Amino acid sequence: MLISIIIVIIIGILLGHSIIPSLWIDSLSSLSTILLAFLLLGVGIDLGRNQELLHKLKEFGLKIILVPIFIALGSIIGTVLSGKLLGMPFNESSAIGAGFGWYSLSGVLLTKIYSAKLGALAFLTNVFREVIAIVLIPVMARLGAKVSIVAPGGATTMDTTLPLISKTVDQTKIVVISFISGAVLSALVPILVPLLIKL
Amino acid sequence: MWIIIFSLILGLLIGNLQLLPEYVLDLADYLVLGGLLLLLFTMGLQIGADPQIVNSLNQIGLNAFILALGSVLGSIIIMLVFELSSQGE
Repeated sequence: MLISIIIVIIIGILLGHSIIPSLWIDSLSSLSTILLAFLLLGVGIDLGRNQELLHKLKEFGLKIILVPIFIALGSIIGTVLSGKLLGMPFNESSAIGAGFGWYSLSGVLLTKIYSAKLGALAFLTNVFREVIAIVLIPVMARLGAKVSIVAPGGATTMDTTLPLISKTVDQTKIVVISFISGAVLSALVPILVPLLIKL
Repeated sequence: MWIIIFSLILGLLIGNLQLLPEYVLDLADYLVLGGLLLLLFTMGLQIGADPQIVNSLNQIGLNAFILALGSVLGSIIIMLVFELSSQGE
């Protein structure tokens, strides 16, 4: 998936750089509001129809919700602090942190509502986050991490990094927590990114 | 911007209350995939059309790495505190 996404973006960059006139690009990106609305409708349906999620939430109790909340807070505080080092304003760094590793969605959201430059930065940051998570999860498992193993993956712990977590951790409880946390963080991305960037 | 949150909530309701038949809901995956690829393509176009972004891609990459490290470390530190403080429960 990442490969096809990168190929699509590179083709876009090359065409935008050379062939396609900027007037077309402007009208294309105004069309993209409708596209974005449909995309989020699809994201909502996918998350909403997951009945398993609600069952698991009831089974484990509400304390489980603290996991994605703490991961969200840690991610945003982390990018705000490192963004300060880079001289970035709070709204930009916090919105990028609220991508929680969902690079495609945070990239297109910020391109659409803010700027292509910040969209590119959000995309790359969240790609790197997923890569760092893939490297760190086995290391953390070896060091004996428990629930904290869910932290680096962010929103990706419901899909792309879930198999890795279930392979490295032998407690099924942590695998379930990982799924719940990833799903809650995924739902928070399209809510928090637009809110934070408007601050 | 509100259209984003509105669409998400509408989707959550449709999905959760099964307002549409199963085979229509199955299309949601394709809606997400197709929409994302098209939007990523237009993101690419906008990046390519802006020489300022193309010329600073190296810098953007480095900044992205620093931000990614920050987000991972921040979330791990908070979760470690949570893990240690809820031990024994």
